[in-house]
Amino acid sequence: MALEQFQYDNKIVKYFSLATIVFGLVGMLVGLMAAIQLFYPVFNFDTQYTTFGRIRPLHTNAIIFAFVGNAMFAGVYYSMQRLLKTRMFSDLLSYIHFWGWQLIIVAAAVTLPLGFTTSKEYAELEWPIDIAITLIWVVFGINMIGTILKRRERHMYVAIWFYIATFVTVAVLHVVNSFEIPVGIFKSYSMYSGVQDALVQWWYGHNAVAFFLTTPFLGLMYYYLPKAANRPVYSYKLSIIHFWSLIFIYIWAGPHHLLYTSLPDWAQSLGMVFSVMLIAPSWGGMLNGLFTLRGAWDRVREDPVLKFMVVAVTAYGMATLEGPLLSIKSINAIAHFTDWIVAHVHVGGLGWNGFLTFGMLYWMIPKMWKTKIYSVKLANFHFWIGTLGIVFYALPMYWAGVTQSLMWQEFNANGQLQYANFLETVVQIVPMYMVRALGGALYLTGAIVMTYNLAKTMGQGSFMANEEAEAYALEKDQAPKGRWHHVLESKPIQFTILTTVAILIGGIFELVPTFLIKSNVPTIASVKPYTPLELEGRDIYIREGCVSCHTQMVRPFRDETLRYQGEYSKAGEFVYDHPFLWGSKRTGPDLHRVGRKYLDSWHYQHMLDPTSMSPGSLMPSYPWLFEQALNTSKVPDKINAMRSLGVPYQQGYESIAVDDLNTQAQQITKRLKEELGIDVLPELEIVALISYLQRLGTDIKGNPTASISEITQKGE
Amino acid sequence: MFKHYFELVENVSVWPLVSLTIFFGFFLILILWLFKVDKKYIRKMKNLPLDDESKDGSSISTKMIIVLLLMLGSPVASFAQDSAGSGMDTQTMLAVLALFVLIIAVLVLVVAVYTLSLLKVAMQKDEPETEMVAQKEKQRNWFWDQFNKSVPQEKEATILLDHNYDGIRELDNHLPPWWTAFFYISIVFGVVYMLIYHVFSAAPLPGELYDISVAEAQAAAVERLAAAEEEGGGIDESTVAFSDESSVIDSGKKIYDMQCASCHRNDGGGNIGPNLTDEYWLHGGSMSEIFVSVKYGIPEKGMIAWEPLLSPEQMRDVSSYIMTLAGTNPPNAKAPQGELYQAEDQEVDAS
Repeated sequence: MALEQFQYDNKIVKYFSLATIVFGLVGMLVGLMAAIQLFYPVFNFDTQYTTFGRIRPLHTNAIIFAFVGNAMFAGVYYSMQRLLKTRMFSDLLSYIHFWGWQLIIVAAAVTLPLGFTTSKEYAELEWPIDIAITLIWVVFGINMIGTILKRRERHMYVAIWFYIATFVTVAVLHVVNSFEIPVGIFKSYSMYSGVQDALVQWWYGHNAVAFFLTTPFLGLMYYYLPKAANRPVYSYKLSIIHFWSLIFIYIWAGPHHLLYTSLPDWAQSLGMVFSVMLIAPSWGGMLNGLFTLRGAWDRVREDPVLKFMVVAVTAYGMATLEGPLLSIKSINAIAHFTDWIVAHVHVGGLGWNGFLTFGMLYWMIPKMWKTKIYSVKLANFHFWIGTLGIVFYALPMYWAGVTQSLMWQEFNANGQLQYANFLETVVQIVPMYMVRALGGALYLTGAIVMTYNLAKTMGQGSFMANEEAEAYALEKDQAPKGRWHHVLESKPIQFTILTTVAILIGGIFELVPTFLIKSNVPTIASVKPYTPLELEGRDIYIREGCVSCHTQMVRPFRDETLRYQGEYSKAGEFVYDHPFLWGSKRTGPDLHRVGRKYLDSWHYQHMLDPTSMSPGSLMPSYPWLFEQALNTSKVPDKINAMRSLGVPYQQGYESIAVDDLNTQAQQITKRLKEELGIDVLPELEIVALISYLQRLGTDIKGNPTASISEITQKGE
Repeated sequence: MFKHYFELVENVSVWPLVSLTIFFGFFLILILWLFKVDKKYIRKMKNLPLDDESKDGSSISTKMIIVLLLMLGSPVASFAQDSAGSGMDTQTMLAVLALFVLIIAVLVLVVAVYTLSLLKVAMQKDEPETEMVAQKEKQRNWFWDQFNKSVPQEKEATILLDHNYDGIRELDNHLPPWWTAFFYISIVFGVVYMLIYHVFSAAPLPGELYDISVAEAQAAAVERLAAAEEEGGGIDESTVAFSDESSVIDSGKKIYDMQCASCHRNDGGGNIGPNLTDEYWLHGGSMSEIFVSVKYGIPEKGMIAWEPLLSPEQMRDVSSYIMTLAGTNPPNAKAPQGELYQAEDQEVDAS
C-alpha cells in the first residue's frame, strides 16, 4: 500500500456555490413577483413576458434546477471527492458540466418568458433544452461514476448511495417524460395523450421532488450534518433500510397527484397506499439526522450551521409526513387544487432544500477560503428571518387552502352551493396572499443578508483552489469481507444496477398497464380531434400558462358537477390532448366544461379585461392577444405531427387545414359582430383562443355547432 | 363548529388577518425573547440540563404523538369514505378537520410545554446545578434510549463501526422499534386497502361515491319539495309573484350585482346580455317569464340556468329586482331587442 498525494478540486465547488447564490436570489425574486401578482395583477407591468402564467414556471425552474440544482452539484463535488479520497474523475467534464448547466438555465430564463413551454410542470423546457439537459446529465454521470471507480476508499458511504440513486433515476424520469415530437425549433407535442400523459408527467413530477430535491439532499445531509456536528452517524442499519425502502417506494407514489381525476382507480389507490408506506422510510432519514446530533445539542444553539440543518431536517420530516397525509383520498378531496399544496411544497422547498443549502454554504465556504465566517450574528439573523419567512409563508397558505376548499364544497339548506360564484372564494383569501408575499419577502431578505455575509467571508479569506490530501491506494485484489451490504458497498457497478432495478419496478408496474390495457381509457365515440383553429388556440393557452391557474378536471364531487354545470371529466375525453392540461391548482375556476357556457363576446371582453366580466378577479388582462396575428405557417406541420401521434386527421387534411382555420375564424368574428357589434380581425390570436375555450369539454354533449369540413373522415 | 366559524369569516373578511397577526405577533415576541435570552443566559443554559435532551426529546415526542394519531387517523380517514360522500359529507369533513385540530392542538401544547421549560431554565439564574437535576436528566436520557432502543451515549464505543469516511464515523444502533412497527403497520394498511377496494370491491370507489351522493341529494330535494308543499307550496314559475318589499329588492340587488351585472351591466343597460330597462323583451317581460329565463336560462345564447345555483326565493328576489329596473333609462344602454311588451295588458290577461 502506497500513500498517495493528490489534490481536491475546490474551484468547481466555488463555481457551483456562486451559481447557487446568484440563481437562488433570482429564483426567489421571481417567486416574490409572482406572489405579488396574485393580489395585484398589474404587477406584471402589462407585458406578456412577465405575466403570471409565464413567470410561474420560470420561478419553479429557477428554484428547482438553478438554485437547488447548483447547490446539489456544489455539495456533491465537495463531499464526493473527500468521501472517496480522490479528485474528480475529469476536470474537463466538471467544467463542461458546470458551464453546460448554466447555459441550460440561461436558455430556460429566456425561453420561458417568451412562452416556449411544454406546459408539463417542472418539465416545461422545450425539446432542444431537454436534449441539452440529457447530455449534461450524462456528463455529470460519467464524471461521478468515474470518480467512484478511481476511489481510494474501498466502501461507498451512504451519501454516495444517494448520489447514485439521484443520477440514475433523474436520467430515467427525464428521458421518459420528455418523449415529444417537435414541430419547430421551440415547439413540440408530448408523445403521450390525456390520461397517459398525466400519469407519466406525475410519475416524473413527483419523483423530480423525490430524486432531485430529496435523495441528493439526504446525501448532502449525511455528509455535512455529521461533519458540522462532529458526531458519528446514529445508525448504519437505519441508513441501509431507509435508503432501499425510500428509493423503491417513492417511485410508486406519483399517482397521488391525480386522485379523483380520470386516472384509473387502481392506479390512484396504488399512489395513495405507497405514499402512506413512504412515511417510515422518509422519517428514517430525519431520525438518522436528528439522532446524530445526540450530545451536540448544546452546540446547536450557538452554531448557525447546525441551526439551519436542524430546521432543514425537521422541515423534511414535517413535509414527508404531510405529503402522505395529503395523499389519503378524503384529505386530498379537501386539499387538492388549493393553496394547501403550495404551502406544502414551500415547507419542503424553503425549509428542507433552502435551509440545508444555507447551512452547507455557511460551513463549506469558510473551509475553502481558510477563514471563519465573517459574521455569526448576521448568519443568526438570516436563520431567524428565514424561519419567520417560512412561518409567514406557510400558515396563510394553509389557511387560504382550507378556507377556499370548504367554501367550494359548502351547500346551503336548499341543497345548493353556498358560494355559487367562484370569485367569492377567491376574494376571501386575497389577504392571505398578501401575508404570503410578506413571508416570501422575509425569506428573500435573509438570502440577501447571507450573500453579503458570504461575500465578506470570501473577501477576508484566501481561496484554496486545490486542497492537498493524501490517502493509501486501494489494493486491487483484496477479497471483500463482512456482511453482504458492506460487500455491496465496495461494488459500485452492482450497486448501481440494483438501484436501477429498484427504481424501475414501480414505474413499470404503473405505466405499462395504463398504456396497454384499453379498458383503462374507455373511448367515447363523440370525442373528435380539435379543429386547426382550436389546436392553435390550445397552443396559445399553453403558451400563456393558463394551466398554472386553471384546471381542466371536474372531479366526481357533487359540488363540482353543480358548479361547473356538467358531468365530471371522463378519461375518454382527453385522448387527443397532447399534452394533457389538467392542471394542479385552481386559482381560477376549472375550465373543462366552460365550452359554450358563455358567449364568444363574453370571452372577448373577459380576456381584454377580466374585471369587466368578473369584478374582483385576480386574472391579468391579455391585451397582446388582441394585437398579435396568429402564425398559421406551422398548421400543416402540427396536423402531421398530431396524426403521427395517433390523432385521426384524415390523410391530406394538412393541405386544407388553413382554409378550415380561416373559415372558423370568420364564423367567430361574425358572431362577435352580431352579439355585441365587436369588430375584430379574424387573424388575431384571441379568435383562436376563443375557439378553443368554446370547444372545451363539449364533445361529450355532442357537437352540433361543428360546421367546418369533417376532419377525420371526409364524406362519411 | 367550522360552519359557524366561516360564516363569521365571510362577514368580516379582515378577521383571519387579525387573528393571524395576533398569532404572528405572539410568535415574534416569543422568538425575540428567546433570542435575547439566548444571548444573555447562554452560558447558564449551557450548564443547565434540560434543554440538551429535552430539545431532542420534545421533538421526538411531538413526532410520536403525530405518528400515533396518524396510525389511528389514516385508516379512519380513508375508510370514512365508505359511509360518506368522498369527503363531501359534513360528518367526514368534520371528522377530518377534528383530527387536524387535534394534531395542531397537541403541537401547540408541546410547544407551550417546551417554552415553559425554557422559561424555567431562564428563571433559575443563580441556582447551581443540583444533584436532583442531574439525576432527572439521566432518567430522561434513559427513557429515550429505551424508547428508541439506542445504546446510551456513554457506551457508544461498543457499537462504533470501523467505518471512517473523511472523518465521519458510523454507529450501528438498532432501528427504533416504534419506527419499525409503524413501517409494518403502514404496509399492512396498504395491502388491506388494496384488498378492500380493488380485490373484494367491498367499498365504493370515487365514481360510485359520486353516484351515491347524487342519489342522496335527489332524495333530499324530494323531501324539501314535499315539505314546501305542506307549507303551501314553494315558489315556481306558476306561483311566483312580484314583490316590492325592501328585503326582497335588496336581496335581489345583491344577487344581481354579483351574478348578473357582468353581462347585463350594473344598471341593467345591457352588454353581452340584453337591456333589461327598456320595454322590449326577447323572452317575455312578465314576472313569471323573467323567472323562467332566470331559472332555466337560455343556454344557446349564453344565459346560464340559475336553478342549480340560486334558491327559488333568490330567483324570485332577483326577478323582482329586474322588474324594478324598467324605465330607468340608463345612459348608453343597449339598443332594444325582441318584442315590445305591454305590462298592463299581460297582467290583466293573467288575472
